[in-house]
Amino acid sequence: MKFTYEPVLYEGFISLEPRAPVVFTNPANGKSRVIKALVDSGAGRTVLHPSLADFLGVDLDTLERLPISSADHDSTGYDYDLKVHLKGDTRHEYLIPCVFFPGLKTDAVLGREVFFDRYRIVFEQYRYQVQITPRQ
Amino acid sequence: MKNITEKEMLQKAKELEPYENKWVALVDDKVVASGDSPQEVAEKVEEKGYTDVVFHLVSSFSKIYIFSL
Repeated sequence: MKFTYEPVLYEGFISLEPRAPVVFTNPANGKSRVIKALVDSGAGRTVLHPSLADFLGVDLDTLERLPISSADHDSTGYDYDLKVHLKGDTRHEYLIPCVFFPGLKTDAVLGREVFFDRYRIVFEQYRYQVQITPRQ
Repeated sequence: MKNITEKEMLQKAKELEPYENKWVALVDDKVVASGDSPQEVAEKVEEKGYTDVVFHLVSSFSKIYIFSL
C-alpha cells in the first residue's frame, strides 16, 4: 500500500513526514482507533501519545513502566501490547509491543520492533510517498 | 494512490494551518472535527455522524521534530 507523505508547516516552509493510517486495537477490550502514525525507522519501539491510552481503554496506572532513551534525554513510558494493522488491510494484523510516552509531541510513531519485521517499507520522499507492504 | 504535486502538498499543509497543536479527525484527508484531546474530537465526530475517521495530532509549526526513540 502506498501512502502520501504529510506536509508539516515549519516557519513558513514545508517539512515532510512519512505517515500512514494505522488501526490500533486494545486486545483486552476490542476498542480501536485509526491514527495517522509517523513511520520512523530510527525508533526502536512503537510509541503513542498518552491521551490515546484512555481513548483505547488502557489504564496507564496498571502498566509496567519502561525506561526510554531518546536522542537527548532518558525518560519512562508505559509498556503495553496493541494489535496493529494498516487501515484497509485487516488480513495482516500483528500484536506489537507499544509504549505510551508522556513526552511524545506527536500522535503515534511506528518503530522497528515487530512492525519493521512484518512489512517491507520503502521511503520515497522524492515522490512524496512511502510504500508499506506485508511480507510474504 | 495518485501522485501528489508540490502545489497540492502546499495546499494540504495550508488546510492544517488553523489546527496547530490540536487533535483533528480526518475523513478523506479533510478535517471534520478538532479539539484539545482525542476524546473531545471523538465526541464531536460521533455527534456529526462520521464513523470512518482518522485521528491526528497536528504538530507545532515552530519546531522541527526528530522523533527517533
